[in-house]
This record gives sequence, structure tokens and C-alpha cells, in this order.
Amino acid sequence: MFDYLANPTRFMRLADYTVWPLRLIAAAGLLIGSWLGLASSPADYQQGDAVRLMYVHVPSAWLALSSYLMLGLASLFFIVWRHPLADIAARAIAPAGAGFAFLTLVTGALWGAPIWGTWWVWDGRLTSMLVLFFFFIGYLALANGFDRPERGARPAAILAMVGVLNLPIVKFSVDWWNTLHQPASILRSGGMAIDSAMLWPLFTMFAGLQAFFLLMVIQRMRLLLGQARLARLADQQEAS
Amino acid sequence: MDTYAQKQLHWQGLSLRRGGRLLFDRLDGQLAAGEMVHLTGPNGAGKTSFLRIVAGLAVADAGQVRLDDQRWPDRETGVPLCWLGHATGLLPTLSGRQNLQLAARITALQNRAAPDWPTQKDDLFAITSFIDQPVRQLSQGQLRRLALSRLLLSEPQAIWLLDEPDTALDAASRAALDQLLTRHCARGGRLIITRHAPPADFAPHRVLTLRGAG
Amino acid sequence: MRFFLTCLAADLRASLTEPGDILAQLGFFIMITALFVLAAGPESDRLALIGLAGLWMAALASMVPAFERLYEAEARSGWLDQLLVSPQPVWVFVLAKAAGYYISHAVPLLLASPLMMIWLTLPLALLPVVLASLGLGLAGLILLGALGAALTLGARRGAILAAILVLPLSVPLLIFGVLAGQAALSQAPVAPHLQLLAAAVLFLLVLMPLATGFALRTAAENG
Repeated sequence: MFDYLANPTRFMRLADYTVWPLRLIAAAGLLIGSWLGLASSPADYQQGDAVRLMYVHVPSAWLALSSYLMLGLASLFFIVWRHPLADIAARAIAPAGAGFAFLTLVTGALWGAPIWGTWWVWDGRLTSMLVLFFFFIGYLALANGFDRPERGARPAAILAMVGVLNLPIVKFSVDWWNTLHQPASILRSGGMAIDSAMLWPLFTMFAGLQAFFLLMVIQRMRLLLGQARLARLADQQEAS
Repeated sequence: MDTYAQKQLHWQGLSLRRGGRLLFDRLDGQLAAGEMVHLTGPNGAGKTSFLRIVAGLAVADAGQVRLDDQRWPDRETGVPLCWLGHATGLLPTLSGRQNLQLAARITALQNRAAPDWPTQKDDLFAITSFIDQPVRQLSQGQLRRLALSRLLLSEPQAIWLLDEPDTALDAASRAALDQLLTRHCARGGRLIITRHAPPADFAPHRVLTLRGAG
Repeated sequence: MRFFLTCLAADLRASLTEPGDILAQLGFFIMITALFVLAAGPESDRLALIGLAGLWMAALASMVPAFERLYEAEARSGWLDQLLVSPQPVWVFVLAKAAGYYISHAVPLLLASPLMMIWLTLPLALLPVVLASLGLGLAGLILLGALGAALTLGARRGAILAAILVLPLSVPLLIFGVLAGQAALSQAPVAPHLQLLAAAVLFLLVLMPLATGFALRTAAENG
């Protein structure tokens, strides 16, 4: 299957088919999810309306983490098989992943603000997400840090793979740090008893945001492939 | 030890694109034992890139270099390679002698670089007068001669890949270099060389021309 | 092995010809610690609590910016190409560079740490723990720096870039190291933190030279 998809032209053609379905799922998911989340689901008895931020925060956290893993996988493909499509995939995933990591941090801070009384608390999860955000920043800085843009592709891929291997260690160390320092943390997004009325908005937002993420990645890949093809045609034009 | 004289170094379908320009496309060729190949082409044609690919330092966008039917480079085969690029390959904080001894160690040729090497008769490029000075104090010509002396440490039947080795060289050293190249091929070694202004009596076995982009 | 020792000797010889670099880094470490005390205020009860953090931050700040130039001599002179063409494994060279850098740059910091501890009003009874944790932490940091330097060879703004890559990866080292010292300060068991730190360094010791060797080859391919 990968060989089949690996041909850029074929990929672009297949990708074209996915765009409209993804647009629909994203739109539907986000609109319905937002309505359910904002209007029709209950407020938490402890946290009040702030809990509604969970519907964005939790899917974003999932997307940030899974996109970093996807980045590592694409990097592995690029390093081992040297396939340019893998590099294009990585370059498309990274900014989207960084964006969702940032969104997680912002929604996490907003969620916690009324509860903690401050704009930030060094909660274990938020701290890990912050370091993951730094990993994304490092990757983007390296990938774009060379005068010749293609020069940064392989170093960035190596960095991503090393990052994926280090991520469990970083997560563990932050949790370790957290248990010993015990900052104020009422935010137990996993441990909260989730009312079944909250499951539907969560699920639809999840689907909507996931589709949105995939849409961003595919659109960006199409853009990058298009640019590459344009450059190649311009060269041929010049040469002839 | 002499078994690699039989081995054929060859390349197929080599293509390279740099900065959007196609430098060379579907290049095929080989380098047999005893051959001296002169690599020519206009500036920017990709001669250095091509040499780096054959040396195993770079990878082409398409195509492969092989030794017989084995992947190249393969550090296991033990086929000795001597690479001389534009840079001298000499660490600036060490002396010439320390650098050459390090070079011998790297290629596992310790037996060839005894502590008092090179003796007068080995000293083809007249380096003994400055061999113990720190490299960063030396002139371009002296550096080039030190770098070329590395070739004297090479196995007799090695593959030599030389990129503009006669830059900044005086006439005597140039003559010594030509002598060395001929001797190397006569003993079963092989080499590819690029040079800007080859001497009138330069007689390579073959000329390989890269036409360059456009 | 022989090649390791050869590279290590060459690296140490090179460092000794530039003692200014080492002294400058040491000076930077000392100055940052002093400025930290100035910023935090010398009231000893408060200072001791955050003194360990200050010590570690000073160590990081003085080591990380210099990583970019780790392979500068080898890369610019073309020696790296010679290594890549040779039958020697690159990871051994990387390990030798890391060891050399540790001896020439980390050891002076460790030697200065007793004085820094006095400035930060940390009890000298903590010295063994501080030396062990900082010693291990710097080893891990240098291994990370070896990779960072290799990844940023030829990049614009290499020093900052290498720092941005290395610092997030060094979070575990920082956490385990500081916690070890703080445990000693509060009479809590130190061993778990040191063990975790040692495990992290061991992980880096295995992964970093290999990844760095790969990164150096990549840099040569494109350079």
C-alpha cells in the first residue's frame, strides 16, 4: 500500500478525493460539538462553565501527542527509504501539531484560571505538553534553519526520531517532579467522572478536530507538492 | 590483500539535482584497476558532487555505485579509498606529523607511518622541513603538500579520488604529483582526478566529461 | 579501543592549545552564579532552597551555547570527510569528542562547584551529592550537545539553534539532578533520583553516539 501511495501524483489524486469528506466531517463535528458543548451539555457542579473548555482541550492534547508520533513515523520513513513524500508529510504535520499543542496549553490555562485563581499552574500534564511544544519548536527551527531548505530535512528527521524515543523519559521525569513538588492541581481531566451527557460533545469535537487536523495536513501536503512540481517545471522551461 | 585488483567499481543511473538544477542524469560508468580517469566539465557541472558520490560521502538522487555487485560504500570490504577534496583534511591545532599519524591510524595503516616517517627518500613533497609545525601556521602550498603526502601512506592498489589536488602547488610538487599518479596506476591502483590546468604531458587513460545543467 | 584513544588524545591536545575557551566558559559559569545570588538576594534561608536550581541553570547556561562549535575544526578542515571515508566507526569518534569535552569543559565546572555552593549558602556536606548529580547531568548534557552540534552543522544561527534542540531534551537530567540535591538538603533518600539520572545518562550514552554518527554523515552528504 505504501508503494502505491508513494507516487506523488497518485497521492495527490487520492488526496483530492479526501478533501471534501474531511471538510464535511470537520464542519459537522465542530459545529455540532460546539453546540452540544456550549449549549446542551451540563455545566460541572464544581467547575461551572469552565469545564466546557475540556471539549477542546482534551482532543487537542490527543492530537498534539499523536501528531508528534506521526511526525516520528514520517521521519523514520524519510530516513530509511529517503522518500520525498515522507519529508513532505513531516513538514505538513509539524506546524499543525505545534498549533494543537499551543491550543492545548491555552485552553488548559483558561480552563484552570477560574479554579486555580491564576493563569498558569505547573500541573503535570500541562508541563509535559509545554515540553512537547518545545520539541515541536525545535523541530521547526531545525527544519527551517538552513539556507538551502532541503538541507534541513534529514537533520530534522533525526531530531524527530530522537524526540519520540526521549518523550516517554521526559513524561516520566515531569510526573516524577510533579509528585515531589505537588503543585495545586484540581485539574484531573482523566480522573473526572464523565457524565454520559458530556460524552457526546466530547466525541463529536474529537471527530471534528481530528478531521480538521487531517485536512490541514493534506492541504499543506498538496500545497508543498504543488510548489515542488511548479519549481521542477520552471527548471525544465529554463533548461530548454 | 591483492584480491580487490579484480574488483570492478561501477555506477549506474546516477542522477543528481542540486538547488533545483539537474546536474547529471542516468550516468553509467566504471573504474577498473590501473585506470587513470580525468573528470572534466565546466564550473558548477557537479564534478565535486560526482566525486563525493563515488567516494560514498554523498548519495545520488537516483542510481547506485557498486563494487562488483556489493553496495558501495561498504566499510566491511576493506577496499582502501583515498579521498582528497578541496579542504586539506588537516586538523589545525595539530602538527603536520601528528596529522599524518592520525591519518594513518584512521585507515589502520599504522605500520606505514613509523615515528620518523617520512624519511628523506619517502619525502616526495619535501615536507620534512615544516612537518612538526602546527598546521595553522603553514601556507596554502605547504598545507597542500602535507595533504598530498597522505597519498604516500596509501595502500598500493587503493582507489584514489582527487578533487583539484594541484591547487596552490609549486612546479616541483606538481611534477612529483604526476609521477606519483603514474606510479599508482602502474602498480594496479586506480584514480579519478579533476584538475583545472593539467600539464601538457598529462595522459589519462580516459576522460569523463560532465556537461553540466543547461 | 585504539581509535577512541587516538581521537581523545587529539581532542585534548587541541583543547590545551586553546585554554582561553575553557577559562571563558568557567568564568561565565561563575559570573552567572554570582548574578543569580545578586538577583535572588543573599538571605540564606531562601537562597539555600533555590540555590541548587541556580547552580544547575548556571551550568546549563555556560555549557549549552558552546556546543555549536564542537565539530567546527573537524568540519571546516575537511577532516570529517576523511573520517567518513575511512573504515572507522563514526560513533567512536563522537564518544571520544564527548569524553574530551567532558574532561576539558565539565571538570573545571565541577571543580568550581564547592565555591559556588558556598556562595549559594548550600551546606558543604552536600558536596558529594552535588558532584555526583552535576557530574552525571553534565555527562548527559554533553552527549545531547554532541547530537545538537551535529544536527546544526552548517545551519544559520547554529548556537541558538543547538540550544533550542538540546534544552527540551535535557529536562529529565535537570529534574533528576536537582531533585537529588534537594533530597539531600531535606534529609530524604537521594538514591532514587541518582539512579534515575544514571539510567537516563546510560540511555543517552547508547543512543546519542549512534544518532550523532548518522547526523554527521547527513551533514557531509549535503555540505
